[in-house]
Amino acid sequence: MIEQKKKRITAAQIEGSSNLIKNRFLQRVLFIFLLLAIWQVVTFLEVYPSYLLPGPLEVLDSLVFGFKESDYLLAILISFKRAVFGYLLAVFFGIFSGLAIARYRFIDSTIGASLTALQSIPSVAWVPLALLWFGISESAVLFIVVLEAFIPCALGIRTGVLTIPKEIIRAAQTLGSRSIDLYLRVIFPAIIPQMVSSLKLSWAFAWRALIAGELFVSGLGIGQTLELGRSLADMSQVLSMIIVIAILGYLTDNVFFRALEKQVNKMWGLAN
Amino acid sequence: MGDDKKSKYIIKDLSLEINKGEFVCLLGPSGCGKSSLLGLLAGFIKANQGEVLVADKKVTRPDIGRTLVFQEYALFPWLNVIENVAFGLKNKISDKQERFLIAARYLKMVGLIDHAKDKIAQLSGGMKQRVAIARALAVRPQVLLMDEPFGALDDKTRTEMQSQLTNIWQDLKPSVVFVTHSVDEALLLADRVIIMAKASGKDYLGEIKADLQISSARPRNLAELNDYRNQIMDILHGNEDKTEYIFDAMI
Repeated sequence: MIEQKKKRITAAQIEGSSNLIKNRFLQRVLFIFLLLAIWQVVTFLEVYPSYLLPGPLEVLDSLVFGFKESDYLLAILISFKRAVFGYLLAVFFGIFSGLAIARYRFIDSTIGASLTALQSIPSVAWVPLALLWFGISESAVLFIVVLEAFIPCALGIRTGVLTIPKEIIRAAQTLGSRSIDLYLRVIFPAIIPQMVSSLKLSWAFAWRALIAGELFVSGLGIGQTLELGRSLADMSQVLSMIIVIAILGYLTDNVFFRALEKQVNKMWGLAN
Repeated sequence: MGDDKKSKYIIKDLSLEINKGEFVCLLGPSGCGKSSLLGLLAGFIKANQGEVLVADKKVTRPDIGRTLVFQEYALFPWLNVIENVAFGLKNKISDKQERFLIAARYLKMVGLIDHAKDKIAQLSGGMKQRVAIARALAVRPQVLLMDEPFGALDDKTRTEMQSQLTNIWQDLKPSVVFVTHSVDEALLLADRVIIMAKASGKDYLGEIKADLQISSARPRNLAELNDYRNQIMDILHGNEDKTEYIFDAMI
């Protein structure tokens, strides 16, 4: 089997890049099936009791049931809505504070430096504080999401602005561009590639913070469903939610943000 | 005039007058303050004392009347070629169509009209610098400042660019201040060569050594310029290390 795969890769390399991509995709799918097969075998041999490790088919059952009869879809939509709302807020403030930090040295040495320190605090660490401040509520989750997503955005924008080549700014100034015009026509477009990568990072932080926050809050959402699965000792539900989180994370990263990156590269004339 | 940097002056007691439509080269080794002088003219650097006047107006900050061409091109990669050239016209002309017509005219002048829609990343170094020159000229500056613009180009491209720049300058007659450390480049291009050197044992970095008129007709041939060349070498190095410098230049 390994021999076959090797052959396939070399064959694809000769045939061209589109086949290679297809093959990589195939490899990925095959690998996932392999993992599922091992999982199935382990459950079949009853290495662990089924209430601790249900088989893939049971989990699939639970997923199908959850989407059909229960409110998985609603939970996902609600979680997504929360994440997007918190994320947009964070990005809005992140961009402006990033610009301010980059513009004024004293803001950089005060707020900028503190943000770097704050970045090292994992989102779960804010949960107790958020619960005390906002109660067991939506606002607590939102607070954690905004706080977590805001920091990488602001720091990314700061780096973006500070790494614009000095000559680009000077060239624009000698061509009569200054203040707002300079921001709109030079600084902003110049940081777009950096901005896309900080937006991506920011989203990853928002998503993690959201799940962490939801675990502690009642109501409907992916985190809550996960926590409900734990309290009912329904391992199938726990694993279904973990799979849902993984798939959603993968899709936003590899579909949405990759498309955005491609668009930017096209604009810059960097890639085909 | 001087610029304070780490409590050491870059240039002191500088006085220089440039005529309208004149092509002036600032020639000297690195570290003699020629780029700082250009920054002063552009308005990026402020003098501790004294002032810079352009057409009787005091220079306080960068302005569209004094555009700059950099060694590293400094084009805007998110804009295509013609948008780059039209960039500075935005603040002068409100009609977009007209801006692009003007930009097209300057692109034609530098021979890049066929590349108007290209991305900057697709261009070679020489083409990039031609775009930068078109961009700087399109706003009709009183003074065109050039900071070793051909320093990053290979010899062949550099020679082409030098003759193209001469042609464009003869067409438009802007005042040009061109910084270079190449004697030959200065001889080929300039009406007037300001020779600068490092000041030794003084509390500032560089000084003007000489101000030389080159009156030979264009297009020029380096072989005819040997007298000027020797004269510049003498000023830069004194007679004793002339041979060494020529050897340096050949490498």
